[in-house]
Amino acid sequence: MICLGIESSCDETAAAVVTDDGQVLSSVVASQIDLHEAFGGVVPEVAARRHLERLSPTVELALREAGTAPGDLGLVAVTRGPGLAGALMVGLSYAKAYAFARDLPLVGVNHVVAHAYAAFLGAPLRYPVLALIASGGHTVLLRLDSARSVEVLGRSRDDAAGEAFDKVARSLGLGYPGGPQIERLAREGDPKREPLPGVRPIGDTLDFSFSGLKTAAQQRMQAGGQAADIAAAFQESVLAQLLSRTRLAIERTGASRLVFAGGVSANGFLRERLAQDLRGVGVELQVPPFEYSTDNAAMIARLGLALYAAGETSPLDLGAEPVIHPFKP
Amino acid sequence: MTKGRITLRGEAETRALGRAISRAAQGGLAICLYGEMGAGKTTLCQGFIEDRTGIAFAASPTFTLLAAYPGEIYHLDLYRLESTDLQEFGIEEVLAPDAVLLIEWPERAGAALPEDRLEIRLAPDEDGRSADLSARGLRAQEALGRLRWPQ
Repeated sequence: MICLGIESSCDETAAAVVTDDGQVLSSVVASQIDLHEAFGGVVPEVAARRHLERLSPTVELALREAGTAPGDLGLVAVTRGPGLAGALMVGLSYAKAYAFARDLPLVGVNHVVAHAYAAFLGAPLRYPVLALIASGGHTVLLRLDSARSVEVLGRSRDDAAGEAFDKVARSLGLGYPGGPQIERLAREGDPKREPLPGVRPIGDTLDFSFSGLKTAAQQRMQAGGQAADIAAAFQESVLAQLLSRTRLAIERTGASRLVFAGGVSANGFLRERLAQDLRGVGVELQVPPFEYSTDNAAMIARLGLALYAAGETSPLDLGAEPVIHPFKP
Repeated sequence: MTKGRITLRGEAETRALGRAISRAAQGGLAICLYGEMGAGKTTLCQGFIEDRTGIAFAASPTFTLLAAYPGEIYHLDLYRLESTDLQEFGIEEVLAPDAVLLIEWPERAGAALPEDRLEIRLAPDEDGRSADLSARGLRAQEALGRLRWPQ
Protein backbone atom coordinates (compact mmCIF):
# COMPACT_ATOMS: atom_id res chain seq x y z
CA MET A 1 0.00 0.00 0.00
CA ILE A 2 1.13 3.55 -0.76
CA CYS A 3 0.31 6.47 1.53
CA LEU A 4 0.25 10.21 0.93
CA GLY A 5 1.33 12.07 4.08
CA ILE A 6 0.54 15.73 4.75
CA GLU A 7 2.08 17.96 7.43
CA SER A 8 1.26 21.62 8.19
CA SER A 9 1.36 21.91 11.97
CA CYS A 10 3.93 24.64 12.41
CA ASP A 11 6.89 25.83 10.36
CA GLU A 12 6.85 23.49 7.37
CA THR A 13 4.41 22.66 4.62
CA ALA A 14 5.25 19.09 3.66
CA ALA A 15 3.98 16.15 1.63
CA ALA A 16 5.46 12.68 1.16
CA VAL A 17 4.71 9.36 -0.48
CA VAL A 18 5.67 6.28 1.56
CA THR A 19 5.07 2.55 1.13
CA ASP A 20 3.78 0.30 3.90
CA ASP A 21 7.21 -1.26 4.35
CA GLY A 22 8.63 2.19 5.11
CA GLN A 23 10.27 3.10 1.81
CA VAL A 24 10.15 6.82 1.10
CA LEU A 25 9.22 7.36 -2.54
CA SER A 26 9.32 11.11 -2.10
CA SER A 27 9.44 13.71 0.66
CA VAL A 28 8.99 17.40 -0.10
CA VAL A 29 9.37 20.08 2.57
CA ALA A 30 8.58 23.68 1.68
CA SER A 31 10.34 25.44 4.53
CA GLN A 32 9.01 28.60 6.06
CA ILE A 33 12.25 29.31 7.87
CA ASP A 34 13.27 32.11 5.47
CA LEU A 35 10.00 33.77 6.21
CA HIS A 36 10.46 33.29 9.93
CA GLU A 37 13.96 34.69 9.86
CA ALA A 38 12.48 37.88 8.48
CA PHE A 39 9.89 37.92 11.27
CA GLY A 40 12.07 36.39 13.99
CA GLY A 41 9.68 33.49 14.47
CA VAL A 42 6.37 32.02 13.51
CA VAL A 43 3.60 34.46 12.71
CA PRO A 44 0.42 32.42 12.99
CA GLU A 45 -1.71 34.08 10.34
CA VAL A 46 1.17 34.49 7.94
CA ALA A 47 2.09 30.83 8.50
CA ALA A 48 -1.44 29.63 7.76
CA ARG A 49 -1.65 31.69 4.57
CA ARG A 50 1.73 30.40 3.46
CA HIS A 51 0.64 26.80 4.09
CA LEU A 52 -2.43 27.43 1.98
CA GLU A 53 -0.38 28.77 -0.92
CA ARG A 54 2.19 26.02 -0.77
CA LEU A 55 0.28 22.87 0.06
CA SER A 56 -1.23 22.05 -3.31
CA PRO A 57 2.05 22.44 -5.29
CA THR A 58 3.91 20.57 -2.54
CA VAL A 59 1.56 17.57 -2.82
CA GLU A 60 1.75 17.62 -6.62
CA LEU A 61 5.54 17.68 -6.50
CA ALA A 62 5.64 14.80 -4.00
CA LEU A 63 3.43 12.64 -6.25
CA ARG A 64 5.47 13.54 -9.32
CA GLU A 65 8.82 12.81 -7.64
CA ALA A 66 7.46 9.48 -6.40
CA GLY A 67 6.16 8.61 -9.85
CA THR A 68 2.87 7.84 -8.18
CA ALA A 69 -0.47 8.49 -9.81
CA PRO A 70 -3.26 9.50 -7.43
CA GLY A 71 -4.98 6.23 -8.38
CA ASP A 72 -2.04 4.26 -6.90
CA LEU A 73 -2.62 5.68 -3.41
CA GLY A 74 -4.29 3.56 -0.75
CA LEU A 75 -4.27 5.96 2.21
CA VAL A 76 -4.07 9.63 3.17
CA ALA A 77 -2.40 10.48 6.51
CA VAL A 78 -2.44 13.97 7.98
CA THR A 79 -1.24 15.75 11.13
CA ARG A 80 -4.18 16.60 13.35
CA GLY A 81 -2.16 18.09 16.21
CA PRO A 82 -0.51 19.46 18.17
CA GLY A 83 0.25 22.70 16.35
CA LEU A 84 -1.20 26.04 15.38
CA ALA A 85 -4.95 25.83 14.81
CA GLY A 86 -5.01 27.78 11.55
CA ALA A 87 -2.03 25.92 10.14
CA LEU A 88 -3.42 22.49 11.05
CA MET A 89 -6.76 23.30 9.45
CA VAL A 90 -5.09 23.92 6.09
CA GLY A 91 -3.55 20.44 5.99
CA LEU A 92 -6.61 18.73 7.44
CA SER A 93 -9.07 20.34 5.03
CA TYR A 94 -6.87 19.46 2.08
CA ALA A 95 -6.40 15.86 3.23
CA LYS A 96 -10.09 15.35 3.91
CA ALA A 97 -11.08 16.74 0.52
CA TYR A 98 -8.43 14.62 -1.20
CA ALA A 99 -9.50 11.44 0.57
CA PHE A 100 -13.19 12.13 -0.06
CA ALA A 101 -12.73 12.95 -3.74
CA ARG A 102 -10.71 9.79 -4.39
CA ASP A 103 -12.58 7.57 -1.97
CA LEU A 104 -9.47 6.85 0.07
CA PRO A 105 -9.30 6.07 3.79
CA LEU A 106 -8.04 8.93 5.99
CA VAL A 107 -5.96 8.70 9.17
CA GLY A 108 -5.23 11.66 11.45
CA VAL A 109 -1.97 11.35 13.35
CA ASN A 110 -0.21 12.94 16.29
CA HIS A 111 2.77 14.95 15.12
CA VAL A 112 4.91 14.26 18.19
CA VAL A 113 4.39 10.49 18.08
CA ALA A 114 5.08 10.60 14.33
CA HIS A 115 8.59 11.91 15.05
CA ALA A 116 9.42 8.47 16.48
CA TYR A 117 8.30 6.82 13.22
CA ALA A 118 10.87 8.87 11.29
CA ALA A 119 13.37 6.32 12.61
CA PHE A 120 11.46 3.59 10.74
CA LEU A 121 11.75 5.20 7.32
CA GLY A 122 13.87 2.78 5.34
CA ALA A 123 14.20 0.67 8.48
CA PRO A 124 12.04 -2.09 9.91
CA LEU A 125 9.43 -1.22 12.53
CA ARG A 126 9.57 -3.44 15.59
CA TYR A 127 7.70 -3.02 18.85
CA PRO A 128 8.04 -2.25 21.65
CA VAL A 129 9.59 1.12 20.92
CA LEU A 130 11.23 3.38 23.48
CA ALA A 131 11.49 6.87 21.99
CA LEU A 132 13.02 10.16 23.10
CA ILE A 133 11.43 12.96 21.10
CA ALA A 134 13.09 16.34 21.49
CA SER A 135 11.95 19.28 19.38
CA GLY A 136 11.16 22.96 19.69
CA GLY A 137 7.70 22.39 21.09
CA HIS A 138 8.03 19.07 22.89
CA THR A 139 10.38 16.89 24.86
CA VAL A 140 8.88 13.52 25.77
CA LEU A 141 9.88 9.94 26.45
CA LEU A 142 7.40 7.50 24.93
CA ARG A 143 6.92 3.77 25.03
CA LEU A 144 4.89 2.23 22.23
CA ASP A 145 3.56 -1.31 22.30
CA SER A 146 1.78 -0.67 19.02
CA ALA A 147 0.84 2.36 16.97
CA ARG A 148 -2.37 2.56 19.00
CA SER A 149 -0.81 1.99 22.38
CA VAL A 150 1.43 4.89 23.37
CA GLU A 151 2.50 5.61 26.92
CA VAL A 152 4.13 8.86 28.04
CA LEU A 153 6.96 7.96 30.42
CA GLY A 154 8.29 11.47 30.91
CA ARG A 155 7.92 15.01 29.62
CA SER A 156 9.49 18.41 30.04
CA ARG A 157 8.17 20.28 33.04
CA ASP A 158 8.87 23.65 31.48
CA ASP A 159 10.71 24.43 28.23
CA ALA A 160 11.24 21.91 25.46
CA ALA A 161 14.88 21.06 24.67
CA GLY A 162 14.72 22.73 21.25
CA GLU A 163 13.18 25.83 22.79
CA ALA A 164 16.12 26.03 25.22
CA PHE A 165 18.52 25.75 22.26
CA ASP A 166 16.75 28.61 20.48
CA LYS A 167 16.58 30.86 23.53
CA VAL A 168 20.18 30.27 24.51
CA ALA A 169 21.18 30.97 20.89
CA ARG A 170 19.41 34.31 21.15
CA SER A 171 21.20 35.12 24.40
CA LEU A 172 24.51 34.30 22.71
CA GLY A 173 23.65 36.61 19.82
CA LEU A 174 23.06 33.80 17.31
CA GLY A 175 20.19 33.53 14.82
CA TYR A 176 17.15 31.29 14.33
CA PRO A 177 16.99 28.31 14.34
CA GLY A 178 19.40 28.12 17.23
CA GLY A 179 20.29 24.42 17.31
CA PRO A 180 22.73 24.24 14.38
CA GLN A 181 24.34 27.55 15.39
CA ILE A 182 25.00 26.40 18.94
CA GLU A 183 26.45 23.11 17.69
CA ARG A 184 28.81 24.95 15.34
CA LEU A 185 29.92 27.48 17.94
CA ALA A 186 30.34 24.81 20.64
CA ARG A 187 33.10 23.15 18.61
CA GLU A 188 35.28 26.21 19.26
CA GLY A 189 34.48 26.29 22.97
CA ASP A 190 35.67 24.54 26.10
CA PRO A 191 32.76 23.06 28.05
CA LYS A 192 34.77 23.13 31.28
CA ARG A 193 35.49 26.85 31.30
CA GLU A 194 31.90 27.92 32.00
CA PRO A 195 30.35 24.77 33.48
CA LEU A 196 26.59 24.98 33.79
CA PRO A 197 24.62 23.29 36.53
CA GLY A 198 23.41 19.79 35.84
CA VAL A 199 19.73 19.16 36.39
CA ARG A 200 18.97 16.88 39.27
CA PRO A 201 16.48 14.07 38.79
CA ILE A 202 12.94 15.21 39.53
CA GLY A 203 11.82 12.74 42.18
CA ASP A 204 11.73 9.28 40.63
CA THR A 205 10.09 10.59 37.48
CA LEU A 206 11.50 10.58 33.96
CA ASP A 207 10.60 14.24 33.53
CA PHE A 208 12.91 16.88 32.06
CA SER A 209 13.54 20.52 32.89
CA PHE A 210 15.44 22.95 30.69
CA SER A 211 14.28 26.34 31.96
CA GLY A 212 16.90 26.67 34.73
CA LEU A 213 19.68 25.69 32.35
CA LYS A 214 18.53 28.29 29.85
CA THR A 215 18.58 30.98 32.54
CA ALA A 216 22.01 29.90 33.82
CA ALA A 217 23.48 30.10 30.30
CA GLN A 218 22.02 33.57 29.87
CA GLN A 219 23.48 34.73 33.20
CA ARG A 220 26.94 33.44 32.24
CA MET A 221 26.73 35.41 29.04
CA GLN A 222 25.71 38.58 30.90
CA ALA A 223 28.58 38.01 33.32
CA GLY A 224 31.00 38.23 30.41
CA GLY A 225 31.51 34.55 29.53
CA GLN A 226 32.70 33.53 26.08
CA ALA A 227 29.78 32.52 23.86
CA ALA A 228 31.63 29.46 22.48
CA ASP A 229 32.40 28.13 25.98
CA ILE A 230 28.81 28.66 27.09
CA ALA A 231 27.50 26.92 23.96
CA ALA A 232 29.76 23.94 24.65
CA ALA A 233 28.79 23.76 28.32
CA PHE A 234 25.11 24.09 27.43
CA GLN A 235 25.28 21.13 25.05
CA GLU A 236 27.10 19.03 27.67
CA SER A 237 24.42 19.84 30.21
CA VAL A 238 21.56 18.99 27.80
CA LEU A 239 23.33 15.73 26.97
CA ALA A 240 23.75 14.86 30.65
CA GLN A 241 20.06 15.31 31.24
CA LEU A 242 18.93 13.37 28.16
CA LEU A 243 21.31 10.58 29.15
CA SER A 244 20.26 10.32 32.77
CA ARG A 245 16.55 10.13 31.88
CA THR A 246 16.95 7.69 29.01
CA ARG A 247 19.26 5.43 31.01
CA LEU A 248 16.61 5.26 33.73
CA ALA A 249 13.87 4.59 31.14
CA ILE A 250 15.96 1.78 29.67
CA GLU A 251 16.47 0.29 33.13
CA ARG A 252 12.75 0.41 33.83
CA THR A 253 11.53 -0.91 30.50
CA GLY A 254 14.35 -3.30 29.65
CA ALA A 255 14.52 -1.80 26.17
CA SER A 256 17.40 -2.82 23.92
CA ARG A 257 16.92 0.03 21.45
CA LEU A 258 16.24 3.72 21.84
CA VAL A 259 14.78 5.92 19.12
CA PHE A 260 16.06 9.51 19.31
CA ALA A 261 14.06 11.82 17.03
CA GLY A 262 12.71 15.35 16.64
CA GLY A 263 14.62 18.45 15.57
CA VAL A 264 17.11 18.25 18.44
CA SER A 265 18.20 14.80 17.22
CA ALA A 266 19.70 16.55 14.18
CA ASN A 267 22.42 17.76 16.57
CA GLY A 268 25.45 15.64 15.65
CA PHE A 269 27.14 16.09 19.02
CA LEU A 270 24.10 14.77 20.91
CA ARG A 271 23.64 11.90 18.43
CA GLU A 272 27.22 10.71 18.68
CA ARG A 273 27.54 11.01 22.42
CA LEU A 274 24.19 9.34 23.12
CA ALA A 275 25.03 6.48 20.75
CA GLN A 276 28.44 6.06 22.37
CA ASP A 277 27.09 5.98 25.89
CA LEU A 278 24.21 3.63 25.11
CA ARG A 279 26.50 1.25 23.24
CA GLY A 280 28.32 0.87 26.56
CA VAL A 281 25.19 -0.60 28.12
CA GLY A 282 24.31 -2.73 25.11
CA VAL A 283 21.56 -0.46 23.80
CA GLU A 284 21.34 0.47 20.15
CA LEU A 285 20.52 4.07 19.29
CA GLN A 286 18.19 4.39 16.35
CA VAL A 287 18.05 7.86 14.80
CA PRO A 288 16.23 8.98 11.68
CA PRO A 289 18.27 10.17 8.71
CA PHE A 290 19.05 13.90 9.24
CA GLU A 291 16.43 15.02 6.72
CA TYR A 292 13.69 13.28 8.71
CA SER A 293 14.67 14.47 12.18
CA THR A 294 13.02 17.85 11.64
CA ASP A 295 9.39 18.25 10.59
CA ASN A 296 8.46 16.30 7.46
CA ALA A 297 5.50 14.41 6.03
CA ALA A 298 7.21 11.04 5.50
CA MET A 299 7.01 10.37 9.25
CA ILE A 300 3.32 11.32 9.16
CA ALA A 301 2.74 8.76 6.41
CA ARG A 302 4.77 6.11 8.26
CA LEU A 303 2.68 6.48 11.42
CA GLY A 304 -0.52 6.72 9.35
CA LEU A 305 0.29 3.40 7.69
CA ALA A 306 1.04 1.78 11.06
CA LEU A 307 -2.24 3.04 12.50
CA TYR A 308 -4.17 1.89 9.44
CA ALA A 309 -2.56 -1.56 9.66
CA ALA A 310 -3.70 -1.65 13.30
CA GLY A 311 -7.27 -1.00 12.18
CA GLU A 312 -7.58 2.75 12.65
CA THR A 313 -9.22 5.22 10.28
CA SER A 314 -10.52 8.72 10.89
CA PRO A 315 -13.91 10.13 9.90
CA LEU A 316 -14.17 12.97 7.39
CA ASP A 317 -15.30 15.31 10.16
CA LEU A 318 -11.95 14.84 11.87
CA GLY A 319 -11.07 18.04 13.73
CA ALA A 320 -7.75 19.67 14.55
CA GLU A 321 -6.29 19.20 18.01
CA PRO A 322 -4.15 22.31 18.16
CA VAL A 323 -3.13 21.93 21.77
CA ILE A 324 -2.97 18.70 23.63
CA HIS A 325 -2.13 19.51 27.27
CA PRO A 326 -0.67 17.89 29.12
CA PHE A 327 0.74 16.08 26.12
CA LYS A 328 -1.37 13.07 25.24
CA PRO A 329 -0.63 10.83 22.28
CA MET B 1 -4.32 50.98 40.90
CA THR B 2 -1.15 49.28 42.04
CA LYS B 3 -0.02 46.97 44.76
CA GLY B 4 3.35 47.58 46.34
CA ARG B 5 6.37 45.63 45.26
CA ILE B 6 6.21 41.99 46.23
CA THR B 7 9.44 40.14 46.94
CA LEU B 8 9.55 36.52 45.85
CA ARG B 9 12.21 34.34 47.42
CA GLY B 10 12.70 31.42 45.11
CA GLU B 11 10.59 29.52 42.63
CA ALA B 12 8.15 28.19 45.21
CA GLU B 13 7.05 31.71 46.11
CA THR B 14 6.72 32.71 42.45
CA ARG B 15 4.48 29.69 41.97
CA ALA B 16 2.53 30.57 45.15
CA LEU B 17 1.87 34.07 43.81
CA GLY B 18 0.46 32.45 40.66
CA ARG B 19 -1.90 30.42 42.85
CA ALA B 20 -2.95 33.50 44.84
CA ILE B 21 -3.68 35.40 41.62
CA SER B 22 -5.74 32.46 40.38
CA ARG B 23 -7.93 32.73 43.47
CA ALA B 24 -8.37 36.47 42.98
CA ALA B 25 -8.96 36.43 39.21
CA GLN B 26 -12.29 35.95 37.53
CA GLY B 27 -13.33 35.22 33.94
CA GLY B 28 -12.59 37.81 31.29
CA LEU B 29 -9.34 38.97 32.87
CA ALA B 30 -6.10 39.23 30.92
CA ILE B 31 -2.93 38.82 32.95
CA CYS B 32 0.15 40.22 31.24
CA LEU B 33 3.55 39.06 32.43
CA TYR B 34 6.54 41.26 31.71
CA GLY B 35 10.12 40.33 32.46
CA GLU B 36 13.29 39.06 30.90
CA MET B 37 14.04 35.45 30.09
CA GLY B 38 14.33 33.55 33.36
CA ALA B 39 12.38 36.14 35.37
CA GLY B 40 9.79 33.57 36.43
CA LYS B 41 6.91 34.27 34.03
CA THR B 42 6.25 30.63 33.16
CA THR B 43 6.67 29.56 36.80
CA LEU B 44 4.00 32.05 37.89
CA CYS B 45 1.70 30.78 35.11
CA GLN B 46 2.33 27.21 36.24
CA GLY B 47 1.13 28.14 39.74
CA PHE B 48 -2.01 29.72 38.29
CA ILE B 49 -2.76 26.77 36.02
CA GLU B 50 -2.08 24.25 38.77
CA ASP B 51 -4.53 26.02 41.06
CA ARG B 52 -7.26 25.96 38.41
CA THR B 53 -6.69 22.57 36.80
CA GLY B 54 -4.45 20.43 38.99
CA ILE B 55 -1.92 20.25 36.13
CA ALA B 56 1.30 20.92 38.01
CA PHE B 57 3.75 21.49 35.18
CA ALA B 58 2.15 23.37 32.33
CA ALA B 59 4.59 23.30 29.42
CA SER B 60 6.03 26.51 28.06
CA PRO B 61 3.98 27.53 25.01
CA THR B 62 6.87 29.36 23.34
CA PHE B 63 6.83 27.18 20.21
CA THR B 64 3.18 26.34 20.18
CA LEU B 65 2.34 30.01 20.96
CA LEU B 66 -0.89 29.11 22.68
CA ALA B 67 -1.99 26.43 25.11
CA ALA B 68 -5.59 25.93 26.21
CA TYR B 69 -6.58 24.45 29.56
CA PRO B 70 -9.87 23.27 30.99
CA GLY B 71 -11.92 26.09 32.50
CA GLU B 72 -11.31 28.57 29.68
CA ILE B 73 -7.71 29.28 30.58
CA TYR B 74 -5.38 30.26 27.76
CA HIS B 75 -1.62 30.49 28.18
CA LEU B 76 0.01 32.55 25.43
CA ASP B 77 3.66 33.23 24.76
CA LEU B 78 4.34 35.88 22.15
CA TYR B 79 8.13 35.48 22.41
CA ARG B 80 8.54 34.12 18.89
CA LEU B 81 6.64 37.03 17.41
CA GLU B 82 8.56 40.16 16.53
CA SER B 83 5.39 42.17 16.59
CA THR B 84 1.79 41.37 15.99
CA ASP B 85 -1.58 42.42 17.14
CA LEU B 86 -3.78 39.91 18.81
CA GLN B 87 -6.36 40.15 16.03
CA GLU B 88 -3.81 38.91 13.56
CA PHE B 89 -2.85 36.25 16.06
CA GLY B 90 -6.40 34.97 15.59
CA ILE B 91 -7.04 35.38 19.29
CA GLU B 92 -10.72 36.20 18.94
CA GLU B 93 -11.48 32.86 17.39
CA VAL B 94 -10.31 30.96 20.44
CA LEU B 95 -11.49 33.21 23.22
CA ALA B 96 -14.72 32.83 25.08
CA PRO B 97 -15.85 35.98 26.94
CA ASP B 98 -15.15 34.33 30.28
CA ALA B 99 -11.70 33.15 29.35
CA VAL B 100 -8.70 34.02 31.47
CA LEU B 101 -5.61 34.92 29.46
CA LEU B 102 -2.09 34.50 30.75
CA ILE B 103 0.15 36.38 28.32
CA GLU B 104 3.94 36.12 28.37
CA TRP B 105 5.95 38.65 26.36
CA PRO B 106 2.87 40.92 25.98
CA GLU B 107 5.10 43.77 24.72
CA ARG B 108 5.23 41.91 21.39
CA ALA B 109 1.52 42.53 20.98
CA GLY B 110 2.01 46.28 20.72
CA ALA B 111 -1.13 48.28 21.35
CA ALA B 112 -3.48 45.38 20.80
CA LEU B 113 -3.62 44.08 24.37
CA PRO B 114 -7.00 43.68 26.06
CA GLU B 115 -7.95 46.92 27.81
CA ASP B 116 -8.91 45.25 31.06
CA ARG B 117 -5.68 43.73 32.22
CA LEU B 118 -3.55 42.96 35.23
CA GLU B 119 0.09 43.78 34.57
CA ILE B 120 2.78 41.90 36.42
CA ARG B 121 6.38 42.98 36.08
CA LEU B 122 8.92 40.43 37.24
CA ALA B 123 12.55 41.34 37.78
CA PRO B 124 15.51 39.92 39.65
CA ASP B 125 16.49 41.82 42.81
CA GLU B 126 18.86 41.24 45.73
CA ASP B 127 16.36 39.06 47.61
CA GLY B 128 15.48 36.90 44.62
CA ARG B 129 12.77 38.33 42.41
CA SER B 130 10.35 41.17 42.68
CA ALA B 131 6.88 41.45 41.25
CA ASP B 132 5.09 44.75 40.61
CA LEU B 133 1.36 44.43 40.10
CA SER B 134 -0.82 47.08 38.52
CA ALA B 135 -4.40 47.03 37.33
CA ARG B 136 -5.91 48.60 34.23
CA GLY B 137 -9.65 48.37 34.06
CA LEU B 138 -12.42 47.24 36.37
CA ARG B 139 -11.91 43.49 36.39
CA ALA B 140 -8.21 43.90 37.01
CA GLN B 141 -8.85 46.33 39.89
CA GLU B 142 -11.31 43.92 41.47
CA ALA B 143 -8.84 41.09 41.15
CA LEU B 144 -6.10 43.14 42.73
CA GLY B 145 -8.48 44.09 45.56
CA ARG B 146 -9.19 40.41 46.23
CA LEU B 147 -5.58 39.32 46.10
CA ARG B 148 -4.39 37.94 49.41
CA TRP B 149 -0.64 38.29 49.69
CA PRO B 150 1.25 37.27 51.68
CA GLN B 151 -1.10 34.35 52.03
